[in-house]
Amino acid sequence: MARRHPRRPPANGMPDPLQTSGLTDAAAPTERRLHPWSWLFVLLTQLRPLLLPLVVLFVFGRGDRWALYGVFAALGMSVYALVYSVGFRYWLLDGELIVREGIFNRTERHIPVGRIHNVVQRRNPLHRLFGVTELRLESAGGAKPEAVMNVISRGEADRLERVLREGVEHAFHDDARAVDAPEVLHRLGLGELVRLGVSSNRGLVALAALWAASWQFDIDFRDLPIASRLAGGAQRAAWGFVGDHGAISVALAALVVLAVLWTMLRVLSVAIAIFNYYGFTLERQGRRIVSEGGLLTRTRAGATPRRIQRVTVSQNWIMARMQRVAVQVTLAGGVQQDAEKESRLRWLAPIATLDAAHRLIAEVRPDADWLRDDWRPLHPRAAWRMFKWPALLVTVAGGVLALASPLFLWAALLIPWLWLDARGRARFGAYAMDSRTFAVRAGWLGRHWDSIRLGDIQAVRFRQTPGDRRQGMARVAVASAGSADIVGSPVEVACLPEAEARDLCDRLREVASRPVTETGSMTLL
Amino acid sequence: MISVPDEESEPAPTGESDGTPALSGTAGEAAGHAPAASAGRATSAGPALHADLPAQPIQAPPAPIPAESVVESYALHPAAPRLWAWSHALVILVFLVPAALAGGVWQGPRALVAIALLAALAWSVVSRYLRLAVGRFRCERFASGLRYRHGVWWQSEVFIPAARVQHTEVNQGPIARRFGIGRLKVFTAAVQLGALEIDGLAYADALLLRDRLLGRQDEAGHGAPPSAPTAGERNA
Repeated sequence: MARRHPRRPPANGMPDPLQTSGLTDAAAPTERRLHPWSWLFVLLTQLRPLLLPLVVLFVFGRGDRWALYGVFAALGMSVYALVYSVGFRYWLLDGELIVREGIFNRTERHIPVGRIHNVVQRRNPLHRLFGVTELRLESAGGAKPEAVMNVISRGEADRLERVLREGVEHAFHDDARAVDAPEVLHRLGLGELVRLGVSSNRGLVALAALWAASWQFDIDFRDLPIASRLAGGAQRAAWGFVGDHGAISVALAALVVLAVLWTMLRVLSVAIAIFNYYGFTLERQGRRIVSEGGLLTRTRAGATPRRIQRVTVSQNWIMARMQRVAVQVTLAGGVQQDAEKESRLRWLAPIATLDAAHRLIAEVRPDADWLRDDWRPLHPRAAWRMFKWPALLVTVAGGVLALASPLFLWAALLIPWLWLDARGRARFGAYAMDSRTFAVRAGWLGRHWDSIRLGDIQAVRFRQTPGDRRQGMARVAVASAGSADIVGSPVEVACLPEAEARDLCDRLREVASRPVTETGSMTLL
Repeated sequence: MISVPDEESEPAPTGESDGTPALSGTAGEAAGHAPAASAGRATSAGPALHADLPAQPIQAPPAPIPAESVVESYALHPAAPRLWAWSHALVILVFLVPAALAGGVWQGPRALVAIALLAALAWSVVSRYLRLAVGRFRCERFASGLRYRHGVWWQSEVFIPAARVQHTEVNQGPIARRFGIGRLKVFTAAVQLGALEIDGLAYADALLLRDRLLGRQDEAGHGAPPSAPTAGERNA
């Protein structure tokens, strides 16, 4: 929809050979608009929070007066969407992307192209039907993306991405393709996707969400004809299989049901993995790392490797059996909204063989490899420290509950498990620090390795709980500029000997307070 | 009823530089324990459970970092414990007065006695906690950054390099303003550990610390050391 706007070239946009630094649209600035179908997508975005309740209202027929109000609200919103998307303009001028939007409050935002760090393209099936894409541009700070283009055509999005990547002079030449022939770093085939599904618990999460939703909207799935027929069939099949032979057959039936449920969960997980990561590829395009994937909704997210604050390699028990790991990264940046966090560059590989993961990390962040020989152990009594409190809790709670019912004596079986868990975590837990990185590993059956560059450390924390103090232990945490919620917690190592923790803290403090230029951090640039 | 003794809340003399010995000279102990632990690990690494994890020899730790000396130590404002005590007492009262009224109406004087005992217990915990908190408070500025120690049961020490400070905020509640007490918040790009919040400084000290952290002491014209009498101390 590139169309020259006759009304006005921006006042400061007179073609001045000394001023134009290359990042300007052609010779004279051209105002560009959104795709003509944009209003539809703006409307859908507006309606998104209301969509689920509306569907429930219409499908399950519990409509009342509120539905009517909803329709009026939707009408108002569609008018807004239309006006908004017709009024939206953007153009490139002197190395800046300028975006003008709004109806009552007009904003004109000037975004220096160099400041745009994360670029996200999202296409759901509707987008793909219309051949358009939603493009989101994020800078380092701020609670919101700098600009959201909802929606533009695919060609235009690719052009913009290329402009942001390497400057406009390449963008209009056909040989631009040759300049940035992407190099594929990782690709997931169907087999890997199945492995990913089998090793993940996403099916369980989805079921839990479904169950929660059924409470939210007061739907009883047993009322649905399909569900009741399925349940009835399963019941009959189970009884038919086992026959009616007393306690053993009941136990057998329970096992069969569990096995069927487990299998169904795995199948569901595989389906979800395929939906989310079908055709997942990770590419290097010039300086940037770009991941793309998804069966229906395709998300394409890119960032420069220098924005990576933390590399987390993780592996649950099933992945360990299959000799696979997952590699994810946390980017710097303040965009906090859930939907947007989801679609940023996160996975270098949702699943990869050990070799592939090593290669991948060597390509993207060579200092973050989890195979290193300088791991230092935790306190010799760490296992006891990790075991004591959970065991005490189980003992006390189990004891009290056992007064009510002897059934709770089975809780005693948890104690050996807790000991194994504590011992496993104490043995595996470790930290490492060299001249470039600080790394922590933790876990027992599921394990993870975190690595953070020393130059990216923003704060160092030394902490002791009352239990730590009694045992002469302490924990040390470092924080980077990555947004917290993806991986969860700061990089922390617990159960260190107190003296060693102090020493480690001193070292971290010393490197963290070196000037930014020395450590090569560019978090704030 | 409110009995946080003022003599205990007296701040340590400012300008002292005893903060660092605790953080240094401990590498020897660390080295002492490491070999034993590494021997344990070498035998315990499971066979092929994680093929990428061979048992690793643990290297000796590098030489210790020389301790950096404290440039300035900022004391707790003498009136801060009193302010905290009042605010805690207020919370206790907010919960207890309705409880006492209701109990008195329904159960008579026995309930009142029970509630009074409960209040006394809560207060003794709070006052003990505050005394310990005053002892734990330590806010020190190094040439390289800021270290803040706090917490009574869960004790933590947070260090923020001056080079990583993004922006700061000094604020004062209406009551704190009467005492001349301020609260300094130091923001970095770190999301996980949040902003560092230092409550209970003299307001002037908070401003001074802010300026020093931002490297503005000269141009801002604050030449006075932090131990100079502040509005809050004169007030007290």
